Amino acid sequence: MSEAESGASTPGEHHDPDSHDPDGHGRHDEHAHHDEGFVKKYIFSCDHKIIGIQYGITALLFLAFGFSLMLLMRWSMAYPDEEITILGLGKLLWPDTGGKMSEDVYNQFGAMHGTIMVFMGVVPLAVGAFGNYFVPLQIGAVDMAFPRLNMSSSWAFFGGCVVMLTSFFLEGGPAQSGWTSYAPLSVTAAGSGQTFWLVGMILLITSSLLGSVNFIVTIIQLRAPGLTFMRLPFFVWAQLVTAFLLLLAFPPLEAAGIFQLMDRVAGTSFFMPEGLMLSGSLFSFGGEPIAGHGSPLLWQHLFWFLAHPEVYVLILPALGIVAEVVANNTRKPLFGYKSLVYSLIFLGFMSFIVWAHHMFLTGMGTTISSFFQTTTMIISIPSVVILTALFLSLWGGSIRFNTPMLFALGFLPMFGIGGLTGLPLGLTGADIHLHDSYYVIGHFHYVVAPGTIIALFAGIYYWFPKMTGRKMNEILGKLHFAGTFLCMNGIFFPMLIQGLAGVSRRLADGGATYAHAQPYLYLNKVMTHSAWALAAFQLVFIVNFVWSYFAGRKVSANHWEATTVEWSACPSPPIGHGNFPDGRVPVFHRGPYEYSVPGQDKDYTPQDERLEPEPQSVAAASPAGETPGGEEGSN
Amino acid sequence: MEIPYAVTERPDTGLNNGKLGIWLFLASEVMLFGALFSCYIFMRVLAPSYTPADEQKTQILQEIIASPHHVHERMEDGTSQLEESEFRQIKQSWNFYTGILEPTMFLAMTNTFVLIASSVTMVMAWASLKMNNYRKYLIYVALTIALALTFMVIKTFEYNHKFHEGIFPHTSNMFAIYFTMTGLHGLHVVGGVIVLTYLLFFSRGMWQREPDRLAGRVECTGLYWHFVDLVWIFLFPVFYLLN
Repeated sequence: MSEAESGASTPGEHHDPDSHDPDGHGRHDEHAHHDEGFVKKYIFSCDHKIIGIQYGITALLFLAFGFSLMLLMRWSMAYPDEEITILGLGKLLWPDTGGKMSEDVYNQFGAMHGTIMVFMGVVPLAVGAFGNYFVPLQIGAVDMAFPRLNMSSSWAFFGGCVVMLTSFFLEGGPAQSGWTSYAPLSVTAAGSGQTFWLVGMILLITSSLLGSVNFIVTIIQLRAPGLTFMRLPFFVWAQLVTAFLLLLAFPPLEAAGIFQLMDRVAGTSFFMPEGLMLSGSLFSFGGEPIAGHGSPLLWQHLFWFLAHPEVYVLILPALGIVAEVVANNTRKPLFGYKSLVYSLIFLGFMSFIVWAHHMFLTGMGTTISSFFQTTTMIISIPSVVILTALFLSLWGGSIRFNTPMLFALGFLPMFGIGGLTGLPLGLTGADIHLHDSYYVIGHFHYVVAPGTIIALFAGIYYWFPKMTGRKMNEILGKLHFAGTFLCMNGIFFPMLIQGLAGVSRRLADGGATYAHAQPYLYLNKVMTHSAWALAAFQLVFIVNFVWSYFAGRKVSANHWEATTVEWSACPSPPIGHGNFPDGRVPVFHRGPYEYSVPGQDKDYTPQDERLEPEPQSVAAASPAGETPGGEEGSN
Repeated sequence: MEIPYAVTERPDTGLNNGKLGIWLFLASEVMLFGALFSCYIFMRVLAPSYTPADEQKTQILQEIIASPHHVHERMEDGTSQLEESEFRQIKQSWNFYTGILEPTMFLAMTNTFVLIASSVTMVMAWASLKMNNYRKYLIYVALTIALALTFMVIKTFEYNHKFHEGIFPHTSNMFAIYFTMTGLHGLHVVGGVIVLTYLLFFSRGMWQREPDRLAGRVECTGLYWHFVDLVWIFLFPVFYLLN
């Protein structure tokens, strides 16, 4: 029988050394140093922190790669039909065409830029990296609920990335039908690029699904004693709702991916209309015309059923990070914690019933489009509540303008612009003009780039000291912030202007052949130069990151004097395989943002700190191993 | 380093980790198969119908329906007096090929009972384990695997029959979704067989050291297995009876 679990309701107790090691290492005392080989410790690690770092490094590399694709695309838009002269890249990559990017390559880069940024950049960083690393720490858990499933998720992710990257080296190049892969273009696309995209997506979706199960079970089951749901840090709430979105929204895209794969590989007609002509003849499979009578619209419905919740997956962890950084650097609790939480839950629920606002111009009837317009307008309410609460959290605060806070502050108006520009898109009338224009691109990039990515930078600067025990350089950080903030606006604001003027999206020459676009073509150069300047400022970040990792100033375990337990209850970095010293999991006594509590000698009171006399309202059973008296503050 | 509540239940939720995890996973599977069934509805609604233009064509059509074997040959041998467009319309109309499904309908019905039986043996396996009878547990797991493999064998016969008749996924939308959905379900059966094989051959160590943990794993596997059975309970009427 298992002695370790019978009767012991408290996690992290000093356990019987004879109990079975869940990692399958055999029976030896877990408190003895594990003699793990390099491979088991770093390549096949089941530790959430190592897995988080693996996701993080991979995601940052893909963000850089996806950014590079766009840098080349922007050159083609600003200087259409010319050699790409910057850094001699044109001649290097496309010697056959004299250094010019062909339109096919532009389309390939466009499709892969979107796919890579969303599925291999932002979500793995926000959820796979930050979520994996900090959710267990913030709830006082020793690891995720299913460590080996966590490892499987990360390997499925890696497999998906390999497949996607490999597609660049295929003869016909990677997918080129947009990240949205609309049928029948995607089904009829020549070469194997699109097929590789579908297989890669299936692997990435599998990774997300397994990961989301892990997150939800961890947050529900592994909260340490005293941690009720309404005492959870907002970051954890955001990750919980995000995990539900991933769990329930991804399967229809998996179904759609299988259907499209069947259409491409087995000649079925799930998405193929009747009588489709390709290059002058009926589209056929194996010599005979396809069955037809399928529905291209069906792909759109299945795709957007996921892809709309997906955009909330992109923003929610970012909101979580911003909330943590704002509370910490205003030295006061968040405004309206309960409203924030209820808004988050309502947002998650609503996100499932707005998807067809991406399809207003597909010929749907006025009744159904009115339905989606209404739900879209309603969903803006919780978003506004959350943003307003974050703004109001600043009021009366004792604001510290360190680098993470600058990024968090920058996020707020940027997300405001992103959200507000979404409103005309959600109104069917205005969307008639704005659909498929640069306004759409401006809108969603404002939310993701000056929005989420800036929030992720805040997270990196904020949590770097916890992960490494060193801090990043403040001057370089502030330089990085200023340049990034300015350049991102330089790139994305002109898109709104061009879009209102009617410039269409996905044009390799940036609209040069259209009369109505002529007065606004100069903006292409503005945007391109801003993009390359943005790239230069990211070099500042990369230098700062790498240098600080090796030689940054060492700091204390609770460098930012924060109240959440990842700061107060474990060292920097946390103990491998166990997180907390001596296996003592923290006990939670209060809410997550008890800053500037009157009567306390510090301006922050960590969640796990014991105060004399002990409060009466501790929720769970008190652990047997807790020592009376004394603070359990930072190391 | 022990993960809490892997076996014992957390007091406020009443669940252990595995049970919550598998139910969440099944929720996502419901979304997957739900999307697939919704697509079935879409495809069926979108399918054209063929109305014979005259008496002679009605007769030809009835002959073809009455004797669906080697349909392709009969329709393509040039003597059927059907035009190309009519030929395509017949192929695409939803109910036309259901005649093809009829010979294998009893095979599919057998499969239904096979899967239901496998769900019963799965529960018996879990119950035996809870009653500390490891030998009976092994027998019942082996039976479950055998029944699952029977299901796959019968399915292979069914598929082969169709391929032999010249019916492939690309033949018509009806068969496209038939093969895709039953195929995906079959893959889920195979996945279950892999897990059950592990529970059959590699569980002795855990039975000796942590029997409750093994029972938890068997229970989660059982939940998954019942779900796979349930999907078939929906698939069978939709594809074999509703046409």
